[in-house]
Amino acid sequence: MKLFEYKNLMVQQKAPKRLVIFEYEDVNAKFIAEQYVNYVATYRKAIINYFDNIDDLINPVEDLFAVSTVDKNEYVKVLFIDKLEYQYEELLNMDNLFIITKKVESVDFYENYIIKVKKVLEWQIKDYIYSTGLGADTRALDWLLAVCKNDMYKVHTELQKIYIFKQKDRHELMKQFIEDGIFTDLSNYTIFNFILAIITKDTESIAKIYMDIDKLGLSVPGFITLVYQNLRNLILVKYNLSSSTQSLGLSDKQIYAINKTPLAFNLEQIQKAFQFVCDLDERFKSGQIDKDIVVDYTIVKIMSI
Amino acid sequence: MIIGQDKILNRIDSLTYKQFPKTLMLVGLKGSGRHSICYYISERLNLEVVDISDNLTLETISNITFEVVPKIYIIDTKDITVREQNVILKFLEEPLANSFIIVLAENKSLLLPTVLNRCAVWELNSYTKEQLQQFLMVQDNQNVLEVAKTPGQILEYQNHPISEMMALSNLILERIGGANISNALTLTNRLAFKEEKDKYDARIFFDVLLYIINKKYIDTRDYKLYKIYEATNEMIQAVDYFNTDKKMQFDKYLVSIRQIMREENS
Repeated sequence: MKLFEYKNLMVQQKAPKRLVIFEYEDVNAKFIAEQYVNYVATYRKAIINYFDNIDDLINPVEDLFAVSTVDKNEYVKVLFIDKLEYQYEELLNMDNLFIITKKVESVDFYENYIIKVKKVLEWQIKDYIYSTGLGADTRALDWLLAVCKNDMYKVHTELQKIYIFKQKDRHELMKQFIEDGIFTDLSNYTIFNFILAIITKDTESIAKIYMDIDKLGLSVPGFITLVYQNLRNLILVKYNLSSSTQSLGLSDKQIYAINKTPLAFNLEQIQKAFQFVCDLDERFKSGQIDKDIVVDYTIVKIMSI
Repeated sequence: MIIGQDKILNRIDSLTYKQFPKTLMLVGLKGSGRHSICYYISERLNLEVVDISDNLTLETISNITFEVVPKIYIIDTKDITVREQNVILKFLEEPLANSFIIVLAENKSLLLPTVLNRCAVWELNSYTKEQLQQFLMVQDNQNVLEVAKTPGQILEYQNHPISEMMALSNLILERIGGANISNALTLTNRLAFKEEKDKYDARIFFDVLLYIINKKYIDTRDYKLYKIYEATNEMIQAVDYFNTDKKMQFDKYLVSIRQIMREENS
């Protein structure tokens, strides 16, 4: 199936429930694929479950240790995988499953399920941004695109800042935000944004946040704890089987904010970053790392994962 | 009455005031009776016992040097920092005339060699199951007897749901390899790292977990379990030492044992 055919069905809320494999060409194309999934999940009123491992998908496990969260919600499963190498019969029979991958090896086997998402051209990115109904003027959006170097993930993250306002106010607010430097000055960013900047390897944002960390007045253990908690929340929400606030111990708002964050690091990388931060606490408290280098070390180490 | 430590008690009885080591280290697990032995020594030497563990500063040490009445000073190294160990070095090296210092330790390897070198080290004997059974309130509480290694642990564990902890430990070993990472991390929410209701005491749970892993390893000789046993020991050491964030250490542990199970399975 072609992407536009799927889009037509999707708009009519008639997208087939069977397996869909989005094979993307670049990071922006991956973003588009994710948006399709979000759209489908929204009109089906389904919760999205993310996976990064085929085994987890084929041999699903219940919520093994926590409170059971059996509910009536419909689920859409999304598997992120760099390469779909082998022929899995089980996948073909799964409904409500999206695979977002860079490469499909067994093309013949999966032929009927693949939808190629081609490289997104600049005008298409603009088209997408203009059509998001922000109400902001196109010149401001063009400027934002340039600041974000046409990276749709970054643009999306930045636009979240004005999504929360009413549509009629957005045009004026966008202007004000640009004047105030909200999109470039990250002094109001929390550590959560800091983590996002690190795991998306957004060096410009990191450089700016780095300058502001001193102003936050955090102690080193406080900094480590915040980084740890944010990474932990990210893992809990992004990779949970059923987003229950009760079982995760997070608020609805936290879950919403994390779910809205596009994935840029894969699970293995986030996991390594998480292990590193847990280790950092012990290393700092045992005197193996000087307090003056903890922040620098954290940034460099996580970015190099 | 101190049970199971006849060797140490006989040694204490055989020493005169002058022969008694000025700086002594008693090594034994939590609840093994180290404090009881200190009080036994205090009776034997007829000296007052003062615990200075919570106040290991240069000022404290300096004030002690002005003490006229001889005493026995106890230093429990449970939460001692490297800095505090350095503070007590001089004190250990040159104890006051007629006074004694008793250092209590669970694990010698966590102390500076310079601290160890300055002490006469006495290790408490392990307890047999028969000896420990005498401390059981409910005689058929076999699970507690299986896990606990010291009388203190027996007394403490009886107030905790050890059977449930055992069941959860078994569940972890059976299923963590197949668990979603997010799901695995929710285990941390089941443990009380501070005083929290309706949760398992983290430190006791770790002992139970270690026991179950050890038992399973002996039964199966599965190399995965050996690696998990090592990881569990490392986690417990990290939790006990340096006042680290216990939740972080347990999370790190869960991620790593999940990896061990998955690596070996694939």
